[in-house]
Amino acid sequence: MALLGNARISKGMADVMRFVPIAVLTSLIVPSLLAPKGYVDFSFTNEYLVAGILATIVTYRTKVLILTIVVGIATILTMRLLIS
Amino acid sequence: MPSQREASLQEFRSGLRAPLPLVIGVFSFGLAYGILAIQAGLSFLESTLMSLTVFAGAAQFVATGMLMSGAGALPILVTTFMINSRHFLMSASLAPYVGGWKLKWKALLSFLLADETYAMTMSHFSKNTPNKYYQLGVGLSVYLVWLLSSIAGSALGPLVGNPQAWGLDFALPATFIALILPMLQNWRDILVCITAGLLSIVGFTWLPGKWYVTFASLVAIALGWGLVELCKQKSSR
Repeated sequence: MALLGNARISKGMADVMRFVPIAVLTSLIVPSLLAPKGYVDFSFTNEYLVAGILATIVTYRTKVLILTIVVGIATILTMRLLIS
Repeated sequence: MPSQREASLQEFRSGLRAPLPLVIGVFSFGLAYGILAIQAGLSFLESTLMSLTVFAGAAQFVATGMLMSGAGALPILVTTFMINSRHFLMSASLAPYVGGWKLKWKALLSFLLADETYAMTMSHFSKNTPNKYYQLGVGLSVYLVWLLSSIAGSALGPLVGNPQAWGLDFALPATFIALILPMLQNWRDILVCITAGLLSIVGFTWLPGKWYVTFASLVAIALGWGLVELCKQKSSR
């Protein structure tokens, strides 16, 4: 409110800057979801993958962050229990 | 007829109590942040200081996660800026209500601004006369819950030992997913996202260390840029 109201970025720069977080955040998490143990695992025994899919659905429908985190972690724990 | 002072105090108290339903959410987020920060190698002091001075949950989470993954300073700055850009919008929409207040109030209240604070304040202001004590109450209580929970998390961090065993390491990707999804507003954004995802796996398999992040990001961003230019040319014909 007080300080940053006057920052101006050229439209061209802004157009490209919006891609930075999208690209960086995605590339940061995709390997941890698809290859948690160091190798790519597309199967449904990959609890991180399943949790990731469910988390995406939860975010899309509810937009509630805490719920997304909780559902994801619960999915992982449940799957580990079921698989072991 | 209550005095001016009593009325302000009343508003303040009312503001303090208002975010109660949101407290659980803020608390668990703060807890997760504290644990994550410790795992990332931040000391108890560093992680607490961050919560104390930055107080921007999602940004703290993301910055910590990015640091852990070895991302450079520039991407962290840009990303934090973008995540917090919603603060501009929140501030702008609050502006009509706060116009008459003194500068130091505005500064303090901007610092305390958080998603939860914003939500409560806007809904209250639409029904009652805007009051700076109310907003201060809301802001302070959310801030305190955040601070205490992240301190608790930082204290628990070393004890949790192996957060992976509890699935807690999913808190970070989950947060990122929740942040990325709303950013995808058109097909270009989605394409950039998918490209980054695919290339990150390729890079992860073939490149050493954390290079996959830079590699995938740069290519995906370049692609995005290319798409934007392409669309501009098409529309100028």
